[in-house]
Order: sequence, then C-alpha cells, then structure tokens
Amino acid sequence: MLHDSVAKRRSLKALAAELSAIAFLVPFLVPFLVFYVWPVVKGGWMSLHVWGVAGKQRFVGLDNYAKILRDDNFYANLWHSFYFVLIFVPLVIVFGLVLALLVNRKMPMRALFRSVYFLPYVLSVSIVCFIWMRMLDSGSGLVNSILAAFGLPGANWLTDPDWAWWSIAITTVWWTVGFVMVLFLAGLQEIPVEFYEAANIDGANSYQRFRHITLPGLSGVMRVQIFYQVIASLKLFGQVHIMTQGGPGDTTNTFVRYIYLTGFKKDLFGLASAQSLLFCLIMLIITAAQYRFMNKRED
Amino acid sequence: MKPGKWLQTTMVLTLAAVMLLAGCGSNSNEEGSGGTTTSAAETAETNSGPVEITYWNLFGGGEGDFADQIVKNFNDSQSEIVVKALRLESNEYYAKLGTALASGKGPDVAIAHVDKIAPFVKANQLAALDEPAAKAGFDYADVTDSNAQSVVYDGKHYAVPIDTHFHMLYYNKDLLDKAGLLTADGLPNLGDVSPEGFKNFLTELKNKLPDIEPFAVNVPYFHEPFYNLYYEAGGDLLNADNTQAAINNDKALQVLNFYLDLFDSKLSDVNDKTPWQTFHDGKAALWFGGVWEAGWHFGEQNLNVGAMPLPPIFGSEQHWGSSHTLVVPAYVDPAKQEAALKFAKYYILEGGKIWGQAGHVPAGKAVVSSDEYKNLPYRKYFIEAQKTVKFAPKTDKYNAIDTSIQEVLQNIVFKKVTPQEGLGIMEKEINDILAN
Repeated sequence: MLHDSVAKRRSLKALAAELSAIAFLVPFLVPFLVFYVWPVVKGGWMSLHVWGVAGKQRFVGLDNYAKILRDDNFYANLWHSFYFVLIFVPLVIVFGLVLALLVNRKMPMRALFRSVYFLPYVLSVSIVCFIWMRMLDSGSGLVNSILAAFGLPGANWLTDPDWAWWSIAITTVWWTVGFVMVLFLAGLQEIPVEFYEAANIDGANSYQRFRHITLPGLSGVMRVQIFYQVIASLKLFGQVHIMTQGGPGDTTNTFVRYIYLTGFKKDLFGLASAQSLLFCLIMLIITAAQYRFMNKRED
Repeated sequence: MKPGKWLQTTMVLTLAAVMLLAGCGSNSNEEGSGGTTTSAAETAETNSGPVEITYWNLFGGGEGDFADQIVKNFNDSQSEIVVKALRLESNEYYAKLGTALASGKGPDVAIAHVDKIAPFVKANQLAALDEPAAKAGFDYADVTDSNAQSVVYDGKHYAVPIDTHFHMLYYNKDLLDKAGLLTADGLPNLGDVSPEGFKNFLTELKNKLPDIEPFAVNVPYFHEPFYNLYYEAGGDLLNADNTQAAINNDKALQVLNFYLDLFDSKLSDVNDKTPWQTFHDGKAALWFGGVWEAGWHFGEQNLNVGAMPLPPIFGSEQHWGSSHTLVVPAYVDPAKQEAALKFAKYYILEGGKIWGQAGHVPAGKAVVSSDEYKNLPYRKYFIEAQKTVKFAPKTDKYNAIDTSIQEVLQNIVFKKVTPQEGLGIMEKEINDILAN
C-alpha cells in the first residue's frame, strides 16, 4: 500500500516536471509552429497546385517539381548561389581572422578599432547596398575616381559580368566581416597565454606560433564560422536584388531571387513553393554533409 | 575597457542589432500595418462619426507630395468621409495588395495599375463599381473614353482610372543648341525620322559634343524603351485573343538590334544604372522619360529641358502606356464602397488638377480640357501623345509574361543570348505561361 502511493506520488511529480518543462517551451513552440512549421506544411500543399493571386486553381501533383527540374534557369541560378559561396566564404573568413588578429594586439585605441570594424554589421542590407552602389558607380563613383587619380582605368563594377560578383562579394565582406571578427576574437581569448609563453621559450617565431597554437586553438570557432557563412551566403538575396537586379543579364541571379521572381513578380505561387522546398532540401543536405564532415575531423 | 567586458558589450550590441533588424524585417513583411488601420476605421464607424476609409497607394518621391495634397484637400472639402492614406513601398506593393485582397483584410480603396487588375477581377476580389458609382453620383462619362474602357470586364467597370502615363522624348535644349541641332522653335532637329536617321542624329551629336551621352537609354528597365519602339513598329506581345505569344518576329528583332547598335557605337551607355539621373544632371542630350518626371525636370532651375511625343522612329506613333486606377476590394461594405466612390469622383473632378501637375495626364475630361491644365508646360504634347498609347494586353497572366520578357531582355542587352535566341526563349516562356 505504502509502496504504491509513493510510486504514484513519484509519477505525479514526474508528470508535473514534464508539464512545467512544456510550459517553459511554449513561448518558443507556439511561434515556431505558427510561423515556421505551418508555413512549411502549407508551402508543401501549395507546391502540389497551380496557385495564383486568387489562390488555389487546380491540383497538379508533382508537375511543378518536374517543371523546375526541366528549367535551365533552375540549374543556372543554383550554380550562381554556390559560386557566391565559393568566392565569398574564404574571403570573409580570411579577412575576419586577419582583423581579429590585428585588434587582439595591444595597441592604442583598440576598442575604437574593434567598434569601427564591427559597425557596418548593424546597418540594414539596403543601406549597405546603396552606399556601395554609389561608390561603385561606373560614371562618378568613388572607386573609379580614385583609380583615375592614379591613372588606372576604371571598371563597370556592377554591369560587367567579370566584376559584378566581386562587387557583391566585397560589399558583403565589408558588411559582415565585423561579426566574423568578433567570434574569432572570442576564440583568441580562449587560447591560454601560457602556450605562447612556452613557445617563446622554445624559440618559436611568430609564424610558427600562429600555425601551431593560434590556428589549432581556433579550430572550433572556425568550424562554426564556416558552417554559418556557407548557409548565410547560400541564402544571398538582398545585395543582388538591390545592387544588380540579378544582372548583368542573369549573371548574379541567385536561387532565392529566382524564387522571389517566380512568386512575387510572376504570381506563380505554387511553382515558387516547390522551388522553395527544393531549395530547403538542398540546404538540408549541405548542412548534414557539413556536419558529418566536421564531426569526423574532430574525432 | 577590459577585453572581456568589451566582448560582452559587443555581444549585447550584436544581439540588439539582430533584434532590431528582425523587427524591421517582420514589420515590412507582415500585413500588420494594414490590419490595424482597418480596425481603427471600423471603430470610427461604430461611433457614427464620419465614414473613415483606408486608402493604399504606392506613390513615392515627387508624385507622392501631389497625391498627399489631393487626399488632404478631399478631407478638408467635406465632413462625412475621412480618407486615411497609407503609402506602401512600391516594389512590394502588389505582393501586399494581393495578400490583402486574398485574406479579406486591408484597404477600402487602393491604387492599382490598369495592367495589374485582371487577375484580381478574375478572382472576384474587386467590387464592380457601376452601382456604388451611381449612388455616389459619379459618372464614367466624365472619364476619358479610352481610360474608362480599359477597366471594363464583362461589361462592368472594376476601377476608376485616374490618369494615363507613358513616355515622352525629353531633350536638353542647351546641349542641342550647342551642337547646332535645335530648330528655331526649340525642337530637336531630328531630320529623317527613321532608325538610320535617328542614329545619324545621335552620331552628329556625339561628334559635336564628345563628352555628352547623346541618348540615355533606360537599361535597368529595358522593357520600357523596348516596348515603346516595338509598339511603334506595329508589334504586339500576344496574338489577338491573348492565347499565344506574338513577340518572336522581325519587328522585335530590328528594335533589339537597333538598341544594341546604339550601345556598341557608344551613342548610349549600357552600363548606366541611373540614366534618368544622367539626363537630369545634364550629361545626356535625349531621354525617353515618363510623364511623371515632368515636374522634376521642368522644376530644375539649371536644366533647360523640352518634351515632345516619342518620334515615330519605327513607323507608327503607338507607344507603351499604363494608367493608375482606384479599385475597391470586394470585401468592403456598401457604405464604404459608396464613400470610396465619392473619393474617386473627387479625384477625377478636382484632384486631377493637382495630379496633372505631377505629370500624369489626368483621366477627367473636364480637367484635361481646362485652360489651367493646358497652360502647364508642354501639356499640349502630353495630350497629343496620350491619344496613341497602347495598354498591356488584358490577361490575368500579364505579370508573369511581363516579368519573363524583362528577364530575357536583360540577357539580350548584356549579350548572354543573341536577340534571335532571346526572342525564341521569350516565345517559349510566354506560351508556357499561357498554357497553364
């Protein structure tokens, strides 16, 4: 009898604990379900239909997906998104690391430098883009003016297919490198000073200290940063939409802009939903692959 | 500051920034703003005060001031209706209006371009206006016939057109004068009006004024200059019953080759991302600009500009045109529909006088024929040019078709495909859209 009631009390207690855990999760779960899970489910449903301004028109099964896979633009724009990852991620990681190393040194006005490098990150994408559009203007832009002052030929930064991607990449580096720097800085401060002292005693030069202490010490942060930057740059939209409108031609038309055009400019919401889900799937595969790859290296 | 503390501060700052940005994002993506104004309007009505109607529009920049003035004047002119104007960002306007119409929550009256209303009409999301118009004492006979006709579907009016807008040939008189290419009447001395003649004119300009761009072309929105000359050549986007693409033909090819030739001969700058500004700054001699730029160019002290209808370079005087209209969503109750139509009536009869100053040709017959309007600079040419505009084909697929054409045109201009290939792609894409 006694034993029974204790067990009962215990299970009640466990239930209460469960319930309170759920109660604590509700503030997260409700918005997550309403604003994330439900739109995805609805998007999946829409992707099986012809869906226009007026809503559902007719059921077409997997036709939308078949149509996308037959569309040359799908492959072209997907490649553009990956191309940006290839040129941007190494750039922002290297610059972020260099900046972090610089502002980690003891120097006057260190806090000022740190803040200045970080500042662009707080701007919104449209402001950043307009600043750089002005600077990269082929006629009277600052960049071409400076080049001209040195007797160098300018370029059509935003309308020349050879330069457009680099212009977008440089703009994005300027905008986001501060965030990368801050994370590296945090990583640098985790590395025990004793390691460097010991290396000094052993007579290691600065390159050797960097190669054998700093870099390995940052490997954890580095992995997170690459992971995050790959995902963020695959989702590139604002910069190309504002600065080049996907141009010249469709040179900088990324996958997300392709979805945007299909949905919001052409009113083909069913097709756009299918594109979004395919893109989501591709991102999941990449994320999983990255995750596997990184965990393996850690072992 | 200690390093640790500094890091903490930065992290807090980052977090604040991220939250701020997220806030902005959701603000501009959600329908929140529209929803709240509507509920505000509803509470006002139950108080049996004046009828409050919410009015969405997309007028920014120079024309926005004129649009605001009209709303203010209307509100001041009577006491039974209060119009609450909400200006939305023009790029996202139709995404928002579409969502509002589909969800049944949003404006009581809204601006829509004439070429955008077909899908909404087809979806039964817009109110037919003949009945509320009669109640509000508004007569479609007061509207220019071509405008009134443009909003008729199945014999019923679904909008109140407030204007027609299109492009004019703007020319910099000082530059043309310097090059000796201005006639005694102050018009460009175009000579032979043909593709070759026009190119010769530009070449002469270039020779006389080597630092000036002879003809600024709207490359970022290249479909506009393309439509203008393609319509001049007698071309159509679709066949007569809007079931097939009609764009892959010699006329389109000639127009495209004409523009590409101008770019190649440096008579126009393909790399200019703000050609309207180039012209406004006096760095280009000619420009096909919208009538809505009239107030801006004519108002600039340092700029001596004239405007004339687009010369019939490719034969006819047909050219691209569109029109702003006022629409009333189907979910709006009859009382507010009537109020909305009273506002529309005011826009046609009175507001047009102010609207005409912005540059658009007002749709009200009385306003356009008034001396007040005709005395505005170059408006007699505007009225002339308005007679030969060609509106977009009346199909609910127009958005998709127009977007496809825009994308392919960019690839043609920047030589990722040849004009021939590009027209083939357009034809295929348009036929795919129409078959769906």
